Amino acid sequence: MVDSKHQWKAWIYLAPAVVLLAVFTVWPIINTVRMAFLADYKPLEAAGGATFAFGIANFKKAFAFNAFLTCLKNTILLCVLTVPISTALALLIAVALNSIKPLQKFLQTIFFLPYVTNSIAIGMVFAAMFNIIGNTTNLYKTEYAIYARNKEEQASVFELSERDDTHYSFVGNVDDIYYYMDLTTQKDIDKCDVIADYSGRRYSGSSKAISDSNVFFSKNSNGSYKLVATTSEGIKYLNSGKESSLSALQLTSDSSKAAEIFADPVLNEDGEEIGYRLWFMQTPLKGGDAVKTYFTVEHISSIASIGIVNNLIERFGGRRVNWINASSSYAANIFVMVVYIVWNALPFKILILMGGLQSINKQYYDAAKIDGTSRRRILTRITIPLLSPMLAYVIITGFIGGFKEYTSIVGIFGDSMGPTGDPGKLQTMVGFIYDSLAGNNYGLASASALILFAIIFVVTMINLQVSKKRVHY
Amino acid sequence: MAEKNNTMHEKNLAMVTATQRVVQILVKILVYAFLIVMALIILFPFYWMINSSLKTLDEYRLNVPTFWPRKVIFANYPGAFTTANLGRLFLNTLYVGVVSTILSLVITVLSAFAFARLEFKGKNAMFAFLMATMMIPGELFTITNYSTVNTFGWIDTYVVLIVPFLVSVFYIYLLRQNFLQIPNELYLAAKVDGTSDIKYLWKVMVPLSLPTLISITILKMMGAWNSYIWPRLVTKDDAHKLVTNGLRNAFTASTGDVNYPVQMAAVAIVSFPLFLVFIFLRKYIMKGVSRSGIKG
Repeated sequence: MVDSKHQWKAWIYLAPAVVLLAVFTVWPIINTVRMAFLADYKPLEAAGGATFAFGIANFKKAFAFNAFLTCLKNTILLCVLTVPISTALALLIAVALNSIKPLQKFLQTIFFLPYVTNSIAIGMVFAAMFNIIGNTTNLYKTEYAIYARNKEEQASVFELSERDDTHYSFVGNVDDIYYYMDLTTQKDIDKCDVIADYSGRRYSGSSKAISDSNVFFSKNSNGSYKLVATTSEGIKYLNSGKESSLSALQLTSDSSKAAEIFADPVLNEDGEEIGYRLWFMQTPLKGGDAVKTYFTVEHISSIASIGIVNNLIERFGGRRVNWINASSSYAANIFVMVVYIVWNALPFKILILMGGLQSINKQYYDAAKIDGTSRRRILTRITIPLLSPMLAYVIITGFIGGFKEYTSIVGIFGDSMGPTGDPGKLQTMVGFIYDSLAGNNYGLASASALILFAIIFVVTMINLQVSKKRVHY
Repeated sequence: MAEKNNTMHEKNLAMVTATQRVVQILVKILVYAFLIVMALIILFPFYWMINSSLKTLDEYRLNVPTFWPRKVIFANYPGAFTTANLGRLFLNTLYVGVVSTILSLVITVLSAFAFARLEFKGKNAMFAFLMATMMIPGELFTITNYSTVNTFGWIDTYVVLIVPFLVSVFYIYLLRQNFLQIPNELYLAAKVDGTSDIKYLWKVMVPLSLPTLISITILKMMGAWNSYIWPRLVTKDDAHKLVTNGLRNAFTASTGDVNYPVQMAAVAIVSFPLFLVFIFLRKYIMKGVSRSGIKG
């Protein structure tokens, strides 16, 4: 039947595909294997006539690389976590979707939506959702801006004069009296008694300095505060009397003379508490009725926005987590990646499983109904066995995709493949291959690609073996 | 007596069906609740993208986030368009996408036809070999291809973005299966009428397998839109960058104090064409995807 004329024609039809496949598919297979076994192979040097030792040096080098082992660990971890989670979730959603009539098409469309997205672009959205804006070295650290005023309407702002990580100094002037406040910030000011955690110093303009003292607020039994200072001369209390002709605030060693300080919460325009205003009654220097003297301790968080995910967590009573920012934990990074990869992997799995469910013969369910079989039994004895070919398919493709994970991490962490200050922390196998390649390290890249291929091959074979035993066709 | 028993039985039965119905309704409510909650989780990132892109930076940085902008502003969109030079990136991507799709379709149709209808020596062996190459991860090809295109001097050209991926064994396989379903009698009849192969291919085979061709087109275009790794390797200048690379490069920082409203606007602009395609060609995409399992 096969005449030479047809032969010739067939090859004409195939010519473009054959040429391109030869150059970009067949040759790469041969050449990549060849490069993998030539130590430190570099094409440019090879063109220049250099020769390379044949052997497994590249493979040895790969396994000796810390970076490679990190990539291997990240890749395997992400694979092992995301494939079971996304498969189970997709199965639940598919079974649920299959059991409803109204809204089925609409919901199915929504569940498919993540598929038609750019994994880098949407990764950036996930990054925004988990990102914290501000200094994350201590997630609960707050900065304080100290306002002091002795008349409610005349606020005099204390300006920041020095700062380091835990220490803030403020200089301010109230009625020609300079205040120098030194704050050590450790705890959240949200709780009232924490105010006592700050130590401070005060200077009066007349150089009547109380230096090296620790000033703190102590809570009175009636809920008010008193300012207590421990100085070299012992414990002193803030006194609002008029002993000094210069200073509005004086320290006294007589506890009974200590001014009673009250704290009112300070609210912003949205009604959120942003700090406390402390006030006490002070007798004016010129004499007359006592007036209120205010100190406003307003906290400005070093964190501007904790990200919507943390907002939701705190809304439900949880604690904020540094997910992806500088000095975030590995577990938090992996968690974010798992969430994103599962979100991304669901649509394909749901689509395939829905297709499988819809092709199951309804008679099985009718029979089960007549027998009064329970729902769980129907799921485990009918649905899952009959769906097993599809399940095996999504699991195998899930593992293959998982081992090639790369762009979803670029989407969230950027090209640095890790949180700020820790590049490469979440680098994967594919990323390692491309980095080696970009670094002109063809031998290492080829060897790593072969290792990746071997892993995928072995895992696929194991999956196929398992499904041979478990899958009911 | 018997009658009384009967009515008792009926009563019991009625009670049983009533409780069954209640349980059924409860299960239905639970199923719907689960699906709706999951759907909201799926949709949330899209909502957050749009919500953020319409805010001012000050509003975005608020301690307590607003779930809808207090003041909707659109300025982030033109801002994003110019910051990321999206116009140029769109044109590049469109050009690469359209040219590679057309060429790829032609090559795929021709080879699928050869495999489905023509006879030649070594056809089965060759087909089996091609199918086997599908198992190999793309990274393995990329390494040598990178060296090849370097040798060809193709770095920073459109050619390098188009040519290496023109042939997809998978698409050939997909289309061949489709062609095989078309009865051979049609081909033989056309032969008798003296219709040329090319004319038969164009007039009969192509129209009959249009859904598959559309699926291939969409997947190929989505591929160009979403490709990141290869363009990043082979384009160093901005003139040939594709949209995903441009997006990531324009907003290198993904964490910290980033101008998120503008970044989210850029993401929305890049995502929008995909949604548009999805809305109009949902059927073809879902069909194509369920057969391929390839993302982009």
